[in-house]
Amino acid sequence: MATPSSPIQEPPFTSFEETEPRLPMIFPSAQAAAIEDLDAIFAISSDPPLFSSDDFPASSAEHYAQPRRKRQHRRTWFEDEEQGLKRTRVSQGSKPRRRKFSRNFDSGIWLGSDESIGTEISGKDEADDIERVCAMPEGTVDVLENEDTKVVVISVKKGPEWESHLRAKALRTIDDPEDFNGPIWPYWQTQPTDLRHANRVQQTVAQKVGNLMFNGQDTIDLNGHGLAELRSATLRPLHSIMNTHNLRPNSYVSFAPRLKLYLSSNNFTFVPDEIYRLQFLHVLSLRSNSISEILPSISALTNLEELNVGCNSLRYLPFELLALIKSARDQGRFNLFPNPFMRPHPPVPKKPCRAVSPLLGANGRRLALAAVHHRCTSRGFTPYRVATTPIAFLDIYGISLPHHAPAPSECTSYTLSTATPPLTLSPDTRTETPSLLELCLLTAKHSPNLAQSPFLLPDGPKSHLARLLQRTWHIKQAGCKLASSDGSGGGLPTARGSYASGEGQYCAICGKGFVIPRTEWVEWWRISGPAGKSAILFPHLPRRASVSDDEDGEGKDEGHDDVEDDGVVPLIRRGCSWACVPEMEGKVVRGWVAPTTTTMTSVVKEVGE
Amino acid sequence: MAPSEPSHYVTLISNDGFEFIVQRDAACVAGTIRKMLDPQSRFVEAMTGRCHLSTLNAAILEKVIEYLYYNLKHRDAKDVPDMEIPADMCLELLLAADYLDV
Repeated sequence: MATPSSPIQEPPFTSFEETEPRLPMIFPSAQAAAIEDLDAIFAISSDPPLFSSDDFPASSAEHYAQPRRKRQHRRTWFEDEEQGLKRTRVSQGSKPRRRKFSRNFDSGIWLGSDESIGTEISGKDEADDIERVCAMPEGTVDVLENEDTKVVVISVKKGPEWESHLRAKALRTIDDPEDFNGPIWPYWQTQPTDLRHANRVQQTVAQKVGNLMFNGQDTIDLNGHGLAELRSATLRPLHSIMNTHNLRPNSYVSFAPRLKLYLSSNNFTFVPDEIYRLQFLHVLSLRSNSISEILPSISALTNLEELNVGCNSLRYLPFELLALIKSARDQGRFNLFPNPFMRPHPPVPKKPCRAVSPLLGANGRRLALAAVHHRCTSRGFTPYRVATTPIAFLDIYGISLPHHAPAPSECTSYTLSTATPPLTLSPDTRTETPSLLELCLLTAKHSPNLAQSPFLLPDGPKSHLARLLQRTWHIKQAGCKLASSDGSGGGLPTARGSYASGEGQYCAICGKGFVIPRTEWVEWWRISGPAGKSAILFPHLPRRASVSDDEDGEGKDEGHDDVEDDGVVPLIRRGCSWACVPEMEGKVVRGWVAPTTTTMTSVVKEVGE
Repeated sequence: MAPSEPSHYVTLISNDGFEFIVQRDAACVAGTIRKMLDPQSRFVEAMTGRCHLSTLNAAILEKVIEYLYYNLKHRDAKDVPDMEIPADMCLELLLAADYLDV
């Protein structure tokens, strides 16, 4: 049991039977045993202490009767021993000290208002770090605080008039905005019924992610965990993961990991924001969730090779996905079906005909299916546009104007065979100037207090503003920052992810970042050819409705038995102002460079017959 | 009482009593003010040309009017630069924009 630092000479008379090495003795062992008190004898003859560790009596080499530890001083020179011990003990404490909520009787903040019937309690659950700040019959305010996140959950049980009261209480708990990551379940969303359970699930996930970092793997399997959301902080360690497990001597291996994230069969209603930032994601599966929208920020996932978003509530896809599909041409697997996608109705003609009139003829009767035909290249199938909806002009809140073409994202089933043709805006009202609402939201987006700002809105029916701020928050969270961005130029297919920088959402025409879309239209693109020819693998839809076992089987069958509809997906495009509308057919608009020399033929189909 | 020829300028009054005299074209950028000043509506505001905006204080209204002129100036322009919005006025301006429908 010799400590390495002690000056030990090998004892000269160690017998081989002994398992433990005997300690060196100055005196023969019999004599040493006879002498009881070494200190008493050698106190006079030992040298005065030279070093700080020698300043106790029996420390000289002659007194080396038993194993001893080197003395360690964990304190500064001016502290005495008790103080030093106390300090070490505090710093070794495992749990960080939490802010304690206490009623400050002087400030008057916690004085109950007259109409508050219930009582405020301040109890906390040490295990899960959930603190119930306020519990009243009208509702509760829970605060969940970890090292990195802080979530405030307000649930109102009785009437909306209590909401502001509870909201104000919740806001007081967020006294340091820098630490606050944002309300993950804000009051306007559906609340998790059991916050404690939800938190436990999050911790399990965080543990899995942490294990992954240690094991050097790159597959995260979170299928069927009942997750409704994934906090950004949970996934953030994945940014620093490195691919080190197949390092070989004398070879060059990329450290870039090949992340695979499986999140199928959960309860997501939107794609967790942090996923859009995982640049080295190669496989992403979100199958069998309830996702209704994929943000355009998905274009940041330039390494994506396999995407599975089947069995969701998607009615359209972001146009930016097309760039991923195109550049992942041969090795890509994009599994987009089944989903309740919007379908062009009446169905797209099989054979493109000659142009009769330009797209979106203003005379109204003859509207609006335009088909552009591109030839298939020899390398494989080139996606081509099949049809386009009329352009919807939206008001400052992003809601379609009455009597105009409806926004495709608003209507549940989009048919072009409307009896009355929609109005179009006259070109002189189409200004490029952003609305004041948009400018305010853009400013709010860059503010550090964006997550709190919905709480700061005054009372009243302002939930639409809260929703806009919430959407701004999502766009900001999902906004990608690409290091190798080359400004606003460049087309999507050639330079993947050439977008400017983390705005999250870009105008399809001018490329500016925006929050509220002012124009919106959907283009149907055929992204896979007939079976066998396609590089992109699709589970082909059943051709007859009778075999259909998909969720979207009902109600879409009339225009559906056309074989040509297989592999056609609706891609939504949005503009930032009323002036941002696509040019007439044949022009190249920003964000999409038309494929190589092709014969473009637009087709206008007579509708309403 | 109603002037036969509507004036080229209208007065916007904040809730703390400041009066801003602005061009009618600029004021009519805002949807709410446009409806107030619509001659067919026979509102008091339309007849007198004075709009009391009781929810906006002077600082906010000044910024709103800056925006109205900005919008008027850049109506037909290309590559419009974004107007600067101070971060501390952002939420108040958001509410004002919601109220004025602009």
